Amino acid sequence: MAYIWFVVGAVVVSAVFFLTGKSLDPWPGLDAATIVAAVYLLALSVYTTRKPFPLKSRIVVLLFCVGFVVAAGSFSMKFRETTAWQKSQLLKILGVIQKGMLNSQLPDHLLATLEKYHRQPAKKKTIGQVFKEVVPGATIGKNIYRQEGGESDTLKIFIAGIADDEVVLIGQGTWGKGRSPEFKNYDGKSGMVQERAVLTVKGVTYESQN
Amino acid sequence: MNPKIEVSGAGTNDEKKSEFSPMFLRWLISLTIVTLLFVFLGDYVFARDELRFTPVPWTIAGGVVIEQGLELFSGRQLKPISMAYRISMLAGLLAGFVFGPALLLFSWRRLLTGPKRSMLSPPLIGFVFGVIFLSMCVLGTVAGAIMAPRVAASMRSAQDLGENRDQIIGGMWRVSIDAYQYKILPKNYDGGGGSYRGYAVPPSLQKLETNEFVVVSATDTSVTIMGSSTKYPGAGVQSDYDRQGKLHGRITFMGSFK
Repeated sequence: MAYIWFVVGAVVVSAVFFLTGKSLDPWPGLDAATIVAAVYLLALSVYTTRKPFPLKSRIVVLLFCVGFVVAAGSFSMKFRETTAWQKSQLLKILGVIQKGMLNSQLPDHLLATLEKYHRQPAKKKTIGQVFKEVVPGATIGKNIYRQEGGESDTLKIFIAGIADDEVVLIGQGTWGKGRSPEFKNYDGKSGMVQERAVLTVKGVTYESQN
Repeated sequence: MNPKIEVSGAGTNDEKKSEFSPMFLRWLISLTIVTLLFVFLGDYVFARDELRFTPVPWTIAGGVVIEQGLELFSGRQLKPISMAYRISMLAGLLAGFVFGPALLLFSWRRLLTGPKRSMLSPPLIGFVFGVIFLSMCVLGTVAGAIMAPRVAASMRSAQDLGENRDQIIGGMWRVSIDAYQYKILPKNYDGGGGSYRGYAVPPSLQKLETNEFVVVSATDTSVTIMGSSTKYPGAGVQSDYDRQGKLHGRITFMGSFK
């Protein structure tokens, strides 16, 4: 009889584990198998502690099993919640890092342009013309981000507008998720981090778009 | 009177009987086959270095989730969970809920209800192994259930503090850029005309979320900015910026940010 209990328990729990498991999420399969295993454990404890097993021992075994199941459920839920939070924090930190990296480069060309513009004795050139001097070959849509983190650093800073009175730059992450997953990014992607900076003769204004 | 003759050696029914019960032998053979399959065929099915046994399978699932977070952090596509991880989780679950309890309870029952046996009888060995298996799982799970909320609270608190500090550093960067812009703008554009003197943090940047920013000192060539947390009283960050608007020296942390 013990052999049957061993085999049935192992087969049923394993079957539920693999049948309900998902390829990317470890929890559904484990949760379902834990529930089945808990039912099995309670049934096993009731079956094996039947008469002539002493009543006191039976109660102790049953209480022990119930306590174990409750502890397992509690630990499983808390651990699941904590690791999900840690994962979301990692992605949040990624967003913060990407924003920081974009923000550290966004002002460089714009402030250099602003300084050069105001140093002109007679302000003969427009802000757009000065920007083209500071960034040779500047055209709309050009990526002027300087890679600082090796090949994995795939951030982008696009020139989104060059006019006489303003220059617009868009800094965009390529895998770091921003606040809204529906946000349409400059390069056509969705939900990525995006920062915008606009230069006028009065200075630079910044906007965190996603 | 004929003397009683004792028959010794093989031949009696009692002596022919094996000292192992058929059940014990069945188990021994089954476990040996399973172990050999794992040892010789394991590498064809999954990488052995990923295979690990833990009596608390939820920790493996949590580890997988964090690994996925790191993959996404690095910009890589998520891979399906490996068979080795799945087997590891299942092994922990089976040890704690099936094999350990079944071995313990059936052996215990056999000890209580069966005939008296020697010290090394299969039920007693089974009972001992059952206790070992089950106690590993129960102790790990109960300790985890007790500690997990505390660990989670401590992590959240540390993360919250770090996040607040990072927000202040980010806010200070923004103020420093604004200060540099003030320096390079001519006076007729409300700038400093080449100097930081007279710079004050504009109202739009004075308060960001739960942080406040002030200028500690401003000279022709440098400006010192301090950001303080309203969420963690006494905690703050201070740093100096040079004539190019770049960070000069180190960032000074105060209060609980130290």
